[in-house]
Amino acid sequence: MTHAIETDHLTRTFGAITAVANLSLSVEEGEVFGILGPNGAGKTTVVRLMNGILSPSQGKLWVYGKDPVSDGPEVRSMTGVLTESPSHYERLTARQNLTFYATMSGVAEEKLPNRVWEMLQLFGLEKRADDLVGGFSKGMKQRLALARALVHEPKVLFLDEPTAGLDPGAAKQVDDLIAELSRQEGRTVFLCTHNLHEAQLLCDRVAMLNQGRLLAMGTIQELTSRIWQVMSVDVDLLTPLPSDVLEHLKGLEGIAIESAAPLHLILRVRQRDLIPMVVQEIVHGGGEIVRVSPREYSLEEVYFAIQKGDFT
Amino acid sequence: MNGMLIVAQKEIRQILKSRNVLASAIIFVIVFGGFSSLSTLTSEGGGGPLDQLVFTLVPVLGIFMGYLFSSQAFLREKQGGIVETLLCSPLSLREIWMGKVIGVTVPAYGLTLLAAALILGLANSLSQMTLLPSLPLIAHLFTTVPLFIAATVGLLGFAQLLLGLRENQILNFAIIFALIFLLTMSQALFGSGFTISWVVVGSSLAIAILLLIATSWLTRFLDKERIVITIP
Repeated sequence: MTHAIETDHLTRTFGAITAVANLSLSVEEGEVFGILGPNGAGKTTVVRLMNGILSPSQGKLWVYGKDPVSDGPEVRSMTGVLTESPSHYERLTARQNLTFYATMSGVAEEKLPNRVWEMLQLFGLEKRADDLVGGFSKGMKQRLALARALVHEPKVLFLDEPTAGLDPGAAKQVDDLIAELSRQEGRTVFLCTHNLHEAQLLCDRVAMLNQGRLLAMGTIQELTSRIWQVMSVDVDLLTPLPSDVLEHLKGLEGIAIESAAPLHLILRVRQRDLIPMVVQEIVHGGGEIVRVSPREYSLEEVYFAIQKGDFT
Repeated sequence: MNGMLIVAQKEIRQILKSRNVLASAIIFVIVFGGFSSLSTLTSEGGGGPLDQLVFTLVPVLGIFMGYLFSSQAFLREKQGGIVETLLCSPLSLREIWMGKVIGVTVPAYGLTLLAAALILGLANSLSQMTLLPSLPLIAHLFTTVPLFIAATVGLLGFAQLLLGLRENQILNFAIIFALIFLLTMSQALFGSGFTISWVVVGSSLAIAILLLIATSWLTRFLDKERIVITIP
């Protein structure tokens, strides 16, 4: 099966500096894949390598089975890129900007006006279609940059810090658009970001980089379970739990009591599957449960644990 | 449409919308074209000095226009980072470069012809007789001049894409000094007895073609990696 993106020991150096080191990953079609890492982690270099703008020093990579170095134009006609600091032709209108990129990327002339208009509408820019881009706000420019990356209907969308420098409202608008694009259109999205909230919201899987090295890769749940082998579960009770039930819970395989207040228990369970059994035991012993909430780790907690070196 | 022409069309449109740059170019044309023709025609009469003036001054003015506009098309796009978006398109680097060269040369040549018309018009209004440019000079204006502009724009574009910000600043100073030198010395370099013959025009055309071929050959040393690494 051909992956949308695949890299094999991809390495890129600039003199003595290694920007990307031995990166091996694969991204499936329709997946939203996030590359996370601090500034200088190598995220932008990865995007440039995947579009054939930079060549690898070592290793290989493929986009839909094509090598971006030898099949550059073919790969670039399948990809749309939102660069880290997207700029536009400010003396041209939004429509002229989009038309230029669409023509350049091979959109057929007869489809051109409709496609451009469709993009302007999708990104809420139709009322400003014939205004010069120089007068646009940063959020509007970012939406136009997204429209530009999508105007030729690429199979893969590379987004390098799509919400950097935007105010929370504009950032949310952009995030919502990305979510819509991936969920509704099934497009493969390769998202580089250091905005962990954004990554948690949008990504199916993430890879974490630091100084060009891959630290971890997987879904947030996979990464969580690899860092914290046990899971915390909060149990709120209506009435205090009978003491024999508590003793019984202690004796169960894979379960430990972290704290036991009269109306609030914190349990540590080895795996998620044990939670229904715990509920059953409490209810069976006469306990009255108000709420059971397994503690979900945020991507932020996962990220910092991995950057700290807690990953096994 | 051909990728190269798409880029060329965009460059022309952008230059025509750059009011400040266009205004600078027109002022330059009026000042240098006008004053040079005035000083030449008031010192010596007849069509000979006029031919010499047009032959030497007009290509230099064209090169200046090319310099002015290529800074917009190549350097400014590189400084703003927009060039990376172009590099991410399916177009080849050569198509992008050639499109930009055409897109810059067309308006630069248009303004250069305007400068030639201004010089000729001014000369005729000052002279008691009708001064017509010679046939070799007309051929020079319509063949050699655009080729010289294209070669210069190509070379400048090549250098601006290849070099980093600091090197480009140094290059800009060097070009400005070279242009001032050419503008002030162009006529003196050829001497007063110099006449515009078919041989002279043919030779300058050959030089322009060779320069254009050399510039085009140089673009094989351009690569996307070099451009993207030198984006400030």
